[in-house]
Amino acid sequence: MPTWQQLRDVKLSEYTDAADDWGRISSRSNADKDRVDNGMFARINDTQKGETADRASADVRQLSRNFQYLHTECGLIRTALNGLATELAAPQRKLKQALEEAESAGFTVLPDGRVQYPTRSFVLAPGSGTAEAGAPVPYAPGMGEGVGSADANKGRAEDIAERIAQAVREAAEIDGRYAAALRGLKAEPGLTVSDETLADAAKDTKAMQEAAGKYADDDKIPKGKSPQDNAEWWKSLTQEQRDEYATLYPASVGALDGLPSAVRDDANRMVLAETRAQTQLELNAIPKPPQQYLPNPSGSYPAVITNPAYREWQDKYGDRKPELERIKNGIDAVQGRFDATGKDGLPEAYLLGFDPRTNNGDGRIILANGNPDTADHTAVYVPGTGTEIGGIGGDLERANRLWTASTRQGADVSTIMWFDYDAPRSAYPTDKGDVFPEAARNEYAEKGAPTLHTFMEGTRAAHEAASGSSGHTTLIGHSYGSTLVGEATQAGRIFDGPIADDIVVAGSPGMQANRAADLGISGEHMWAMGAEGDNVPLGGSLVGLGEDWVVPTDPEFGGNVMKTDTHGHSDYWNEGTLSLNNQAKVIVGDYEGVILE
Amino acid sequence: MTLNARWQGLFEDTAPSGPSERPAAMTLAGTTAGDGGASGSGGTDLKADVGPWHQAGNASGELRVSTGTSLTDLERGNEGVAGGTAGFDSSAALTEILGTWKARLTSVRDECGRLEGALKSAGRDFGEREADTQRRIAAGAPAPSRTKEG
Repeated sequence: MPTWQQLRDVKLSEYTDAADDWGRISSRSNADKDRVDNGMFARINDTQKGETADRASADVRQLSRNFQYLHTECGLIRTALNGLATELAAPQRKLKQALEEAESAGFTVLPDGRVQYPTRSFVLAPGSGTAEAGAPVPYAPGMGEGVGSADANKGRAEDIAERIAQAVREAAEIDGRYAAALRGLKAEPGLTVSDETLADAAKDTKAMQEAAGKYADDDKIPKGKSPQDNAEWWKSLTQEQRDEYATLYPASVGALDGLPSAVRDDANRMVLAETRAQTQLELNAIPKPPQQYLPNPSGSYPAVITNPAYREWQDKYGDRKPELERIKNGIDAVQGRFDATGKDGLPEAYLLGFDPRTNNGDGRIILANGNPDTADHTAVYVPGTGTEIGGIGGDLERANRLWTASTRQGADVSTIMWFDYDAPRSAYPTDKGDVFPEAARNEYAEKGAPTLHTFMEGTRAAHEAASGSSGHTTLIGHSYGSTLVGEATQAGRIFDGPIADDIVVAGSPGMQANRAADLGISGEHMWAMGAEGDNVPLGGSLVGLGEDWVVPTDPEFGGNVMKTDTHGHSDYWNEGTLSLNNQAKVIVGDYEGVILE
Repeated sequence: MTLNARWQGLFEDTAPSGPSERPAAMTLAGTTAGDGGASGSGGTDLKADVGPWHQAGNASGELRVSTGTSLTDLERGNEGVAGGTAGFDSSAALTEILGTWKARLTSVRDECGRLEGALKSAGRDFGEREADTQRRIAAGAPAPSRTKEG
């Protein structure tokens, strides 16, 4: 615990200087991580197969995890030191004021904090007194003494002594809080970054949010604001503040529409890595289920009984285990996409959204191929019925194929897989045991629509901030995703303008509109596909997800109907098909090249 | 430059890669594109798909330097703290964790150095095999002149 002299003398700039250096290490490690992922991993990945490459890949991946770890933890240390210096400034100021007042009054502050004062009285003999903190009248130090005392200086000295003691107490509390937080930020020895280490890093982040909450307050992060407001807020921060928010509140920063994609990606990757570790550890801790049936101990009928231990296991883990496995599958799919950078020419990935728990357990995954802030053309693909985090791999693959097909047109493209809504689980009656399929209701789309709309606005805002223009955007909806797209076009304000330049739908059961114009775009920018053997458009029109039973592949809808060469509801993104190629043409704005029905 | 011992065994076990595994187009492209200017490792034996491995090795070398800079930052940034902040437990805490991060950064820096060497060696080894295979298959074709690095 510091003394008042130590509080007076402490050079707080030493802490902020040190913070700057930790911050530099954190930022450098972040950049180095990108260099590992894109400069090393992708290269090896692109060229070699076999055991040597696997070993090398494992080593390089470990290096990447190290830089991630350094980025997080050194960033937290930076914030701790800045928070410490900022918070200590207040008691130090308070102390210095008290000391100045003592000096100007001719009092002496003794080494132990008591205040010596000359007696000032008509009745008392000249001499001196000593005041100490801890007033007899609580909450009014100096007052009681001053009023009741025959010595006019007594109360004033008492007040000064109390303020000195208070300042020291406050400083000690701050110091203790940050010291504990800092001690939690030890590096594990060695080179391994284990799941335990990453899970600890998540805890460290939480602890630092508590410890440094007064300094870096998450209330200042905009909530429920427009992406433009978010972008403005981000612009208003210093680089150091941005770095601090990104390392201290990665989940909030990663989810903020309108922020630069690279910033969101860094923040979300941090959350992803830590969630992966936590999920794995929790899975590891679940014991194997005990034997389900036991022979009936009474030997009579029935021959077997359910093992009570099994029932207990079921109660405890029966729901949790598959849920964790689902989350892990989703994370592995995203990690798989990260690792595929460089393979088949795939560009770097940007994780623009990650939350395994939101949307009623369906989760959120938003991943871009290539940087959407700078691409000339950005396409956003919205998956449909039954989508959830555990099965997201197939949708990521579709976005990859959209990227490859449209990049082949010779354009600078970014394709985004956007999944951030509670998707209906059943597509048709009896599917998943539902008599009335969930997809026949538009409430799922209604709930998700504002989220999609805000995301599209954010994409535009980030593009404008980075490139000075909004770029060309295409919104692609598959199946129920197209219903959501239809709702989203109508979720904005009238002066927002169209949600995208072009809209493509595949296997659409209806868009909550009966003509393209209702979507805020003209018919020539509306593109619909319905493959042979895809029964969803018909089914959708029967349950009324369109309006007046009209679906986008109907001529009344007033859009373009593109020719398809795929079969059924799920093959529109098969490689080398006209179905995929037509989408690529729209994405790059080559409307002449689209082959219509 | 010594081949990393951990990977050495792998190379011995790896059967020479046939042309079907790596298309000739890649080899030819690599020969012309090359990456001879990439760094001072000086080998003229960098051919074919050695390029990416060598580049990855170079990247690792840059990361070694970068991590070295971080180590310097770490020392400089914290040297004034102890003297200027006597009596504060946070300073003691900082000193305690400082050593652990020095150790981690040192491990990372050394690993970058190890990978730099190992990746470049691997690339060179792949390249040699590739060239040998090419020679065997296209006997009579002029083999690129090169010197084996010792």
